[in-house]
Amino acid sequence: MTTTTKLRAEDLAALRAEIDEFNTAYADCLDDGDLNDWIGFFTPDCIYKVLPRENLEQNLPLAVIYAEGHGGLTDRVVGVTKTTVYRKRYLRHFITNTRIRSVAHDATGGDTVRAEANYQVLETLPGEYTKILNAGRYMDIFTRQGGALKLKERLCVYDSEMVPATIVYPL
Amino acid sequence: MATAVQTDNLLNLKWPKEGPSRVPYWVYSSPEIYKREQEMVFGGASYNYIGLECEIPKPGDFRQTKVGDKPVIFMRDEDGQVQVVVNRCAHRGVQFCYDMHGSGKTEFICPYHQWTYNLKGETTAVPFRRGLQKQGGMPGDFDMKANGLQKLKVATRHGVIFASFDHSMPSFEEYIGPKMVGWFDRVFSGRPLKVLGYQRQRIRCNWKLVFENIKDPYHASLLHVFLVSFSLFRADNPSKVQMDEKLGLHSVLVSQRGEKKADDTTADIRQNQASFTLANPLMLQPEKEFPGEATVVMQTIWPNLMVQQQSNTLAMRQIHLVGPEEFELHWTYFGFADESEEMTQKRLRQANLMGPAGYVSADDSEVMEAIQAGISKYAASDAVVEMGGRGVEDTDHMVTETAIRAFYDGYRKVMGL
Repeated sequence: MTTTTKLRAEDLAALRAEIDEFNTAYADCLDDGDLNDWIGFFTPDCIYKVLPRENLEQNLPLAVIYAEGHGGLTDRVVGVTKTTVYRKRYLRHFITNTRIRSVAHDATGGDTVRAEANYQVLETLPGEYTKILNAGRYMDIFTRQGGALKLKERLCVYDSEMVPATIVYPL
Repeated sequence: MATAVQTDNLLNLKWPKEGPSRVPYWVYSSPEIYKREQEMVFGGASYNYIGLECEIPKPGDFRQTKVGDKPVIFMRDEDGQVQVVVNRCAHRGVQFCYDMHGSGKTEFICPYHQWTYNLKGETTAVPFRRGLQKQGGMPGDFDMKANGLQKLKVATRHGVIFASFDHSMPSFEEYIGPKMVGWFDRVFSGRPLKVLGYQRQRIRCNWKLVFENIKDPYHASLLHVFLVSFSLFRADNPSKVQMDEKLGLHSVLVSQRGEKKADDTTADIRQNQASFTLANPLMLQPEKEFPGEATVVMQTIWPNLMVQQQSNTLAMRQIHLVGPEEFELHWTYFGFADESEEMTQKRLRQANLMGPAGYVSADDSEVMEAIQAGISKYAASDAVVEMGGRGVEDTDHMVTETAIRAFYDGYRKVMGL
């Protein structure tokens, strides 16, 4: 039995702060950390997608990256670090405007939080100016596991139809 | 036919005496070449891929796309016919259609002076044509019929739309020739299609580098560690390269999946990961769906289309031009309208191979930009294209650059170089 909960203002603020903290750590992992740690932000049965807004709006299921579960995320990490050839690059994530769409409690005491945040990812290639690699919104479903929030689903929906040549790392 | 080229600078550009086994780097960066390509290639005697009929199923459905670097609209008119017109008002040249796609249109109205066009591109209204209070207006002999939107000649085959600025073009089938029609029909048998989604990327290199990338099996077995690790494409898999009967500008690379093994093929690949296995094997569980033994058929249809069939990923890769050293690749992934949900899922999962973040294609977009960086300022040097000899004939193996040579052999004829 799942119930949608209306949170008190202070609980909502605390939850929003918790998600902001989560996204700060997420960005730190992708920008300056170990890509292998990225997997730990997700539940084992997660869905992670990067897709253009035009596909979402036209109900077209295609994504640019589509990873299912820790296995799919692991494959993406191995693909990036072991099989793909690309120029060195640096990413810088800016994640803002967190908004909580809904919160639900189930009988076992778990939370399911639907939230969104804006993201902008800058990319710098050696010898070039920094450019905007991608900008859009995260459409997230968080669950609480062992007290900590984990992503059960993260859709990175980017606004532009066009992306620069290559998206190497996850967003 | 295409109009004559005005630029004399081309006279200074001489193809190397070795012929098709050399490609001069100026073809990838010269503004004169780019200009001539717009006239002789994209604006000339060619059929450009436009879109799929299933993208505009109903009268009044439309989408924008480009032919070379020229914006056009394709749409279905009230009679159910596909029309392709330029997105440029016949009056003052306004790009009158703002939406990238839409439906339910009965007419297009230019926002500037409200010239109005029907779904066949004919002008149906010119405000104040007869003047106002007996003043002004268009001349009495102004002919709306002669002042419609510029239209392209349209050809469709089994749900795929092509168009040409040259209204004297023969049929599409004659254009690509019987051998290429056979490969085309292997995927496009007439079975209704459905679009699964789009991917679009802008790549800073000349457009021909991506077109010839699909004609280059030599790189596929070396650069694409992922493909090789899973034996999706290996130099020793049964393979062939075929060109069309006329200019050799259309071609196919055909191959079949082999056993995953480490041997002298993989030994030549520096970065091979022999022990590489997927943690989520669902991503790559191909299912046979086309007649014959081939598991990958990459077909290039001159000048702007690559038809991708790698395992169950089906996509149209369409080239839009931006400038001599920049282009866009527009990917339309599709499946069949009557396929199982399971097959659609396979396509969506295998799509991880392709596109701007693809396990395979990301290698290509990175390398293509690195090629441009390497050659852009060395226009007087040439590429050496001698793998598999110096000829342009079909082969039954992959250790060859014959399709690239055939391509430039045909390209020179089209361009008068």
